[in-house]
Amino acid sequence: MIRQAVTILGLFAISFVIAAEFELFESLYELTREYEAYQLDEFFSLAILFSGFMLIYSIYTNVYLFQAIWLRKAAEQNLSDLNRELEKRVIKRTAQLNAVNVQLRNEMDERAKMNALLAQNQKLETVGTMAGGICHDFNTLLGIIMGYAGMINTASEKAAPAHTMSEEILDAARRSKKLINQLSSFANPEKSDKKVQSLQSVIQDGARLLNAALPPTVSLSQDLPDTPCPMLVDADQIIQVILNLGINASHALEEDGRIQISLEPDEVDLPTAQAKGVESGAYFKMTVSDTGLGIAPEILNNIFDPFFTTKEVGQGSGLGLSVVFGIIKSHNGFVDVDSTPDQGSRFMVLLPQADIQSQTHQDQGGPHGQDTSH
Amino acid sequence: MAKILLIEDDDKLRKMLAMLLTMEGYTVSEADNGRQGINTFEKETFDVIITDIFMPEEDGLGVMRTLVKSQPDVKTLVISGGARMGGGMQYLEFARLFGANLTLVKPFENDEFLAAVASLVSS
Repeated sequence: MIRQAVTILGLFAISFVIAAEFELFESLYELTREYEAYQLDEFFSLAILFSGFMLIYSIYTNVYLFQAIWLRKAAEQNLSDLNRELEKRVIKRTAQLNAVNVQLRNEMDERAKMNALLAQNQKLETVGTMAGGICHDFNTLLGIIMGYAGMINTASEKAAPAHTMSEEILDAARRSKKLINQLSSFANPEKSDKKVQSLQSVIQDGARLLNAALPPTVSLSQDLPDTPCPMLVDADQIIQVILNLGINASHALEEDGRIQISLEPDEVDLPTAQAKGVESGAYFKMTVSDTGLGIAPEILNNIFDPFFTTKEVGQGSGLGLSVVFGIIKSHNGFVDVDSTPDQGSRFMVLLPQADIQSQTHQDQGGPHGQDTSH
Repeated sequence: MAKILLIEDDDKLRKMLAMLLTMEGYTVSEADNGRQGINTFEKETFDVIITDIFMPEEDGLGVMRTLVKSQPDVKTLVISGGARMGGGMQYLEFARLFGANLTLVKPFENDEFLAAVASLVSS
């Protein structure tokens, strides 16, 4: 646009100069004739003509230069505008890419977390199946040991060493049997007696028993909602869960430690549900938290493994949390743990509300109006 | 004295239980799998049949099915220590549904076992 304007201006200028030159030429002609009249040399006429053309050429060159400078400036301006525009676009695109990168990284982290949870879940299930096999074989072996030890015990005099020795064998075998029963309840918590009952009252019963088992220096508190939380649960098993979690917590406590059991409604989203192998939807969350030493992050993934224990030999079987895992799994729920070293741990037991909803649905033979999603 | 058929695939456990029953004065026959057990009680009459559940050839539930059809009056005690793949204890409930008079979970005390057998013999 500028270039065209400058070209037109240049052409006007040239036309003007040519017209002026014609005027000048005419004047010169007139002058020449007059000079001829005066008998001046023809050379002067040619010199004047040449200088006229030089003038035209000079004007044209100037116009051309002027035009070139304008064009260059316009091009530079144009380039600078384009550069600025490009920079803006690059900044905007970089910001968009950064945002996408952050989102992608978050998704990758989330996916890695979910994969780890899934792997952990699958590992525990595999261990559970293996534990089932171990239980079967151990029960048979213990049957043989208990049988023969019992026979020796019956056949020997009470004062005889064989009697005392067989008593010891029987005692050890009975303890093993108890251990195997615990392992069995992790592998396959099948002796279930589920009834629709208030979770609050189950927790209160569990807390009462736990309180009796805790040292007097440990305080136990409850934070339960006023609204009823009906659930299809095996009360004995849930009490067992409370006892195992509570006693574990007390082992992590220093003097004057605190344990709290709380209950609240919760939601489980689809990714978490898939990672945990449960249904998504409305849940009840029972949390057992303590102000103890916490759990080291490097062992957090192992705490539900059967026989995993940080306690000294003879102080714990390493089955407590495995039993919790097994029981909650049989209730179609899952257990989560959140722990900060030196600040305490929180074990969150999530139980689906769906069971109670379907149960109520069946009982009433149609849609029910009970709101359990409070 | 009462005649007892003991069907159990674990040799050592079977021998131990047979010894325990023999010491109590029972006449004991042994079978190490369900198929052999069925063959035995089809030829011979017993007062009480004690059977494990998880066994090769024929399991304890198969034994119960055959027994209930052919000799419904024979008293039965079903014993189990759980399944290798889990879920064993519910098979004891199945066994009761199949007509088992008593069930015991392995491992059990000798007194417990003998009391169960005695109650079946006397009933």
